[in-house]
Amino acid sequence: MISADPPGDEMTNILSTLLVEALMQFRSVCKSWCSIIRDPHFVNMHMNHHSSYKESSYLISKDIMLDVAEIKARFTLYSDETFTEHKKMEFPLWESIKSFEVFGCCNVARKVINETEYDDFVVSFNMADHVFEEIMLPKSCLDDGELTVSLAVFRDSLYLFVHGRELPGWWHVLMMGEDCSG
Amino acid sequence: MASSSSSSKTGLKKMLTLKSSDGDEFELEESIVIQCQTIKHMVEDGFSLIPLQNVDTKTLTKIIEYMKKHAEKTESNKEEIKNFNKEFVKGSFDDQFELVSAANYLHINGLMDLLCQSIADRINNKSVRAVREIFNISNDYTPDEEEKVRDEHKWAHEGGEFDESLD
Repeated sequence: MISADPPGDEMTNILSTLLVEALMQFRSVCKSWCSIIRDPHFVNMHMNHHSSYKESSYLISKDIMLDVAEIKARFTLYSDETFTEHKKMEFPLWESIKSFEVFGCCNVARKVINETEYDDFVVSFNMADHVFEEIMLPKSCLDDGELTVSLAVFRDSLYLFVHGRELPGWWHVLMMGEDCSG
Repeated sequence: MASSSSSSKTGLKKMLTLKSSDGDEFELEESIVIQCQTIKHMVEDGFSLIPLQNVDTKTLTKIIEYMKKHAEKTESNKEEIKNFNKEFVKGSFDDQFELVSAANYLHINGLMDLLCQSIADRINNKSVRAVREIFNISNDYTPDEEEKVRDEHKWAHEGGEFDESLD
């Protein structure tokens, strides 16, 4: 019998062959499964197993659906090789009229999307499980009108550059943790 | 023991002995056994009697069956191998888990992939409760925590019919 705690290689191997839907469901099997499934290395391993989620293989377009009763923002993922439509999704987090841009991708799985202008958070989107997450930026630097801010993604981190009258500073925001460092 | 590795030049097929954790010995041609990376390294180090303390006779018999069949693999018998693989993974979950552990320990990559894929195929549609039973896992979430994890991915729990059976 395979021991689930501590999780062995075997268990990780089996889980990495499961379908995404099953994986999301099986997060609630037990805590150790949940932590395997959330682990960025596991996410990579899983993506490599399932060729439909190749690195950077999607383009995103934003569609605004105008309706009498409501305005809904959706976006569509397209495969970058064939331009076929992969999936339509709704933005769960924002007011529909605001704009966004895509900053890049790290950990293979995660796309970072930012809501532009005057906002103090960015949003990450996980390709593996289609989950959005808000990442709060350090508030103090943004409240000061004299500063301008730009974002970049490099390796597995999201970097936040703050330009002010004094020397430029930077923060980097870890994608998987919540810590911000200056 | 170190002198045996050069004896294959005599023209005779070099034989190796695998010894299970129950003490049973199996004599096999080296060409069959070297599919297994762990044993291959031991052979290179000059061993000809290979004790496998983590693999019992029942599991070792199955693994030998797999290695023998896959040693015959050519371009022309692909279909035959495919059917063999299909039959090979038909055992109970417990048998499969024993085999995965052994395949992992012995580093037989092809067998590892085959078993993981077949186990995954069998549990993809299972309910969480059935999966816990099958893997003998106890639920360590509090009801509140479990609810929270489920809430994060409601779409994964919706609409599907889950298989509660344990085979």
